Amino acid sequence: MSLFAPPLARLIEALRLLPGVGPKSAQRMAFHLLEKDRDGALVLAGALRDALEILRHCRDCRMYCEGELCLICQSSHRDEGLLCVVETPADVVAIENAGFYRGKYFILMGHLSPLDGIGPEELGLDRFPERLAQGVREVILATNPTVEGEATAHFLATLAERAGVRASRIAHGVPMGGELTYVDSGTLSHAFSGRHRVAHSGDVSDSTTETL
Amino acid sequence: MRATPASLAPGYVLHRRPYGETSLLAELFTRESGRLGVIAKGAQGRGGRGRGGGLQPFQPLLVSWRGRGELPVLADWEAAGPPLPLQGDALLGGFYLNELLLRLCRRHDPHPELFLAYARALGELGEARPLVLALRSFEKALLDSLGLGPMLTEDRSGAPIRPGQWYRCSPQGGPQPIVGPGRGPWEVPGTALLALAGEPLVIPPELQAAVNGLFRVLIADQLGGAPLRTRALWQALRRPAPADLPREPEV
Repeated sequence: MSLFAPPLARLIEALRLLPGVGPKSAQRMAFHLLEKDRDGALVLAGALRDALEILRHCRDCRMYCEGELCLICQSSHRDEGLLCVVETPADVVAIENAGFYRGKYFILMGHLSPLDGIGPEELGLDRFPERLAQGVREVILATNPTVEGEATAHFLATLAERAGVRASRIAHGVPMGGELTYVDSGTLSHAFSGRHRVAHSGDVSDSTTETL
Repeated sequence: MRATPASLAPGYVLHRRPYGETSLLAELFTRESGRLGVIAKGAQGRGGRGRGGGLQPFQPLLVSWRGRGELPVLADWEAAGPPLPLQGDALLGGFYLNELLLRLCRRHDPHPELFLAYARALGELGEARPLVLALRSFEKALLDSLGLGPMLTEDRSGAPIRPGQWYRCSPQGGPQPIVGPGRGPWEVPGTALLALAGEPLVIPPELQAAVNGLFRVLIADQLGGAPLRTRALWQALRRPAPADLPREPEV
């Protein structure tokens, strides 16, 4: 016999859907919403319903959006010729927060994982060549540096090559501010094979020994 | 059979998937204990810490686990060498080896000689040579260690295999002499069987198709009809236009 009235038990059970939420936390959340923040609970319920009813996948990049296209895909300030392929919407957020990228995205919603039965069809990659045909000059493959991410990048690079579009892979190497001693050997070997020539230190003509 | 605890045993990860919110369920292939499933607690994500990141396929590992149940706990692991540099098609070849092991080897069934063949095959895949020899060598070792390989030097009556003769290599019994030329992948010339008997494996170009076909049906016969997913991916990569070609029939 449960200690809780059925609606309360259902709420606690529902909250346990969230990642990192066990029975204890779910109970605390439920009591908090019911006792201390009933308005907040209504807002949460409404937001959840709206999100589920209104949100859909963007036609071009598959990010969650309200209309047919997301804000990034609608934007006219973005470089149409650059397409960055990532595994999840969270990857887009990470790249956008870094603030250097001005192209568009294609979100896979996963990666190829042949041993789990996730192939090109499950990822909807049959639509990828169409997307490339929309004036893309370069595909930047930003899938994770896991074996599945590499296999996915290889597959997409082949599709890009067939479509006559240049494909590049993001570099893997030593993290900024990191120390070589703590870097694993796989990352180190990538860092070495992907090394690049140090650019010339610039025009020295306008600086004299007294400049500094 | 159950796992016995081990400390720093040589092994590879064949496959892993999330288990709970932070752990991984990893399928290992180890030298002394064969294939085994383990729970790697707290190993999910955060590859940068070199922990979950190290628990990747194609990375030689030393693994320690405790517990004797069906799913022991992975207590510790460390790299036993640099990860094998598999890229592109070689990477798909590596996934193919892993799928074969997962589909055909039972858990807790030691195959030390197959472990060596696996390590050697991964090394060969990383050497940017034609993949076909590495894959066929491994398939041969796999079928042999499971007791499913064809007899290569004698036919079913005990007579030596003759180069000029054709043979039908049905899964039951040894090769049966037939009037050539063969019809279908089960029927191969004696030269192909003799080439397969060689160590290290060398397959002359004119026998390549016969050998590929024979191994494909020998393995398909063991898989019980379910196609290999890595092969489907391999074929998808080679289909000129994914949308407008019919699916290739499974052999």
